[in-house]
Amino acid sequence: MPPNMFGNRVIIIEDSEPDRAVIGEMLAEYCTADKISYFESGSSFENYLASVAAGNDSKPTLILVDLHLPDCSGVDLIRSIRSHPHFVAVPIVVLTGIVASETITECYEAGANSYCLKAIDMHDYRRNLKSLCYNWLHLAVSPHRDI
Amino acid sequence: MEQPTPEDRAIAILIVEDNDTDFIVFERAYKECGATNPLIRCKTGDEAVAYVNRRGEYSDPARAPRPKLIVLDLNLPGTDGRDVLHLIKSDARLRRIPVVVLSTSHTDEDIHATYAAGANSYVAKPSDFQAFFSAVKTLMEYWVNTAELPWNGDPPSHAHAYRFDSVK
Repeated sequence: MPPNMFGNRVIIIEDSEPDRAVIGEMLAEYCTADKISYFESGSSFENYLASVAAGNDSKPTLILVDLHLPDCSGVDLIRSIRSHPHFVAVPIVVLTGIVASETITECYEAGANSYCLKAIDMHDYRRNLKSLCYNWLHLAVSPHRDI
Repeated sequence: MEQPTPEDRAIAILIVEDNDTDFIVFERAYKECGATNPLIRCKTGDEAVAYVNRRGEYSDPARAPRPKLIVLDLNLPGTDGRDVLHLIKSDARLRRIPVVVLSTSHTDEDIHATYAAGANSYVAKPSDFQAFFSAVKTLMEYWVNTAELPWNGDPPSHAHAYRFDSVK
């Protein structure tokens, strides 16, 4: 494992503490803890966007976003991230419990790069996260890396 | 408008690849993920454009199903992969289809421009045979068995022939 852990920086927009814990655990193999940032709402994430635009923070390798957020719809948030001039290229992956086909299509239309399910079964949930992390933080080349 | 049924995980994958050896490796890795339906292959950018627009020999949706995933090489003879990507992502009917770019080009400009043009993922094509095989397996494992793909607009009746025997 290279010392920079592939140069990954991951943003997680998720308000559920148990979900944060399992995501953080699976990410540990690909990213040092100081390079993982958690936001519990759309508004707190907007502050980070502003900070990146001002040059005070680095762009992420990957953004993981839940669709159930306390202050906004996840789909609107995806549109807002995608329309930000600094975030046109950053990979956005939806991680949610919503299985509705219309929601999946709507997220892709809004600019999400991919969509994954939080499986109810913990074994399946971890399996999905493992595949997600390996694909997005190891295999795929992100436009933003701190290498 | 007909909606797909929940059990409809049928998936047709279009691969746009001019190199025969790369395609053979791709197909083998793809089958190792449990896929049983044949891949749809286009050898040139022009063929891919005709396919997704259902022109000419691809006009029958039952024989040329709209893909749920497109794997695209950037460097193609004729219409370039970048042009194919731009065309798909600027078409309201097609832009939802995930496009995974597989390319030997590793320049930062190419990578950034490809994502900005709407590519869903960018995977560097390793020159080593074994590494390429394992890269394709990983990306297929993710896109076919992990990720949820958008409904491609085809009525479900066209999908039954393109079913996986084992998903998950």
